[in-house]
Amino acid sequence: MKIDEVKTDMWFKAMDSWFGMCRHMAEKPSSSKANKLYYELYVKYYERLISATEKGNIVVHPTSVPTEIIYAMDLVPMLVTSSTWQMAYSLKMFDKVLAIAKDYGIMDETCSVHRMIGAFAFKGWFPKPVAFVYAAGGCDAFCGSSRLLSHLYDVPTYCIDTPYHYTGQDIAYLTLQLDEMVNLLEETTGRKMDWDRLKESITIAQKQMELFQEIRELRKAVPSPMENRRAWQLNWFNWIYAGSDDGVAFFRTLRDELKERVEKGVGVPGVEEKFRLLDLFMAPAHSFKLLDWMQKERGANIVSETLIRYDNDVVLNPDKPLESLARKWAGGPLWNELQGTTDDVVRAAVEDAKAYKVDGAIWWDNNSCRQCGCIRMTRDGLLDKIGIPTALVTCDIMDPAFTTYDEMKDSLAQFFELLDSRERS
Amino acid sequence: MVMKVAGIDIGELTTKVVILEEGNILYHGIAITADKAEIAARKAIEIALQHTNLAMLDLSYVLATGMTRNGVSFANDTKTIITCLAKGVRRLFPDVRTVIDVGAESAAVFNIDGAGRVDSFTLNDKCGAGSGVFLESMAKMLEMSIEDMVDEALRADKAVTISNTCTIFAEQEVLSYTFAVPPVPMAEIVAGIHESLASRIFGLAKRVRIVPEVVLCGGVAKNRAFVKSLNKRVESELLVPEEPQIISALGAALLAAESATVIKGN
Repeated sequence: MKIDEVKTDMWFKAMDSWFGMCRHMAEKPSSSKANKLYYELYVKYYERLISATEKGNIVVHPTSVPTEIIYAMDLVPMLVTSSTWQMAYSLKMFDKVLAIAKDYGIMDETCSVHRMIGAFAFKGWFPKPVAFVYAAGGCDAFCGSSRLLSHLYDVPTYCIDTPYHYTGQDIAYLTLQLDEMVNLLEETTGRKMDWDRLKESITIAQKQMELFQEIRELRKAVPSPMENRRAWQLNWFNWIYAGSDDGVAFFRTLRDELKERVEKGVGVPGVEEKFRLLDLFMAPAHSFKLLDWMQKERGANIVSETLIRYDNDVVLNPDKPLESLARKWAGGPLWNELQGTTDDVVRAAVEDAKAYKVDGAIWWDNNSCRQCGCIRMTRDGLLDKIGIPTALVTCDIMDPAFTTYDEMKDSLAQFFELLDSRERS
Repeated sequence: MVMKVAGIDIGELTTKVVILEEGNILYHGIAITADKAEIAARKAIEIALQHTNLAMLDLSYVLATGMTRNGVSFANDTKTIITCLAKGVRRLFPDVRTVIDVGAESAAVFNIDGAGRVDSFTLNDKCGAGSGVFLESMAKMLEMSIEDMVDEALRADKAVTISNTCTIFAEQEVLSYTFAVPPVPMAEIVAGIHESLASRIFGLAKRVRIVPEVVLCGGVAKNRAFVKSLNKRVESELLVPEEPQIISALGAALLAAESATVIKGN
């Protein structure tokens, strides 16, 4: 089965709504400099995608592909996860899209991210790309949804085979995989890799990574200076603006803003820090306002996310661009935790909990996500090694009907009472 | 003046009230939750006041718990169910380390450390097959009372396996046993129903830790067949309070007493 036609009307409709929302957020008088820039750049990203839709040079990818490669080939990367979420959010149609997925036989047991990707693909609502690229590791459901996209749109796909560990040999293998990805994109798009441009973007990516680490360091301050939802913004930009001046500009603006707060000894405006929390998994995309609620109403600052971090030893070398990207990928956000053993996850959680002086941790127990299978080990690790309790919040990353906003709020309220009583005793 | 306080737990099916007088239980009662939180709570507290010949003004402090606790306008404060359960269970079983609470439409399991602090909890409010409503629906389908189902299950030497985790599909499975040729004894079917619920609750409990002493509370703790099935899985002896349904209301009342004492002291 192939789709009959690509119907981008929905995509453009979603863009209109999204742009309106972004501009409104950017122009809010209370919006900080970093906030304004975030929304401006988000608009810019999608404007570029709209223009690429017309030119036909989009490469679709999930958060597992070094986008520096795509940019350096003068192609435009489209992050399928955030695009899916953004479209469903802008059009307020989470339920409808999930119902479409069901109509096409995608079972509820499948992660809602992939159900949504499938629904959009079956309907032909994504713009037609020149290729799909994805990685097999971490979230391996992408192997299914990306192949489905590729099949329905009848375009070539490349899967980066990812090693389980990241030893020297594994990095060499990953580098080879990226090299093959470049070859495939050259073959299928007719474009050539601009190696100088790639080297240049590696230099920028190094700067970006350093800023990222600085931001993480600043969050160790008491009170923590960063808004809870900001970490996920950093994560998205780390992919969609990888190795770009715009990415550096956002990271730098945010760094400066946080630095100023830390120097003044103040936290997030209007927030009195009561709890410092470690975030162990992905908060539901439809309810980020929950992150605002816990911070503003309960003084619960998320100070670190184990999924959004770089290993300290990741250093990029522009003279070895693909190897550098392999290292950045393997030791960077999402994949350094999603791939490999649970022991590594526990180790990272314990390290962060100590370094950031957290009072508790939160695991967003996402429905149908196999990564949530290791909750018990992580929770026991944190409790046994350093006495840190973990809240387990049942939710679905894309389906707001699975656990309601109020149910999640109640779960968190129970946890805050637990932390309160521990503090008192 | 002797201090009296009340704890109210608004559950999905029933509202529980405990009134304490100087720390001792003066009254405990259960009313059907047929209305919104405010009305259910008012009705339940009115019954309690009638029984005790008290007026609302005689209560120094009222604390509400349960999912809809914030809808009770006359409560001085609210606390979440885990906090109240922990308080209530500790009062009855000071050495408790694991609490399993199985209510009509939800279940919770949590651990308490030596200092009485809750350190892990997990909830099931997503699936009817993991709560009392599972037994209710099976009893209805088999046209038996819960009590008869319990008696029958306790007579069984073995139990059928109900493999479906969904109440609706489990019903079909039970039906297939009732019409099987040769017939499956009803005792084995109802024993299987209790085993199925116990297995789900045990699975939930394994998400935290099962450390003795283990206390089972909530309405389903009154079901002897369920207690027997769960006890087989939990390695230590399950402790069941005499009135397992009122534990969170008791905890709420104990917390109310603490708050009232602080206010009085000030």
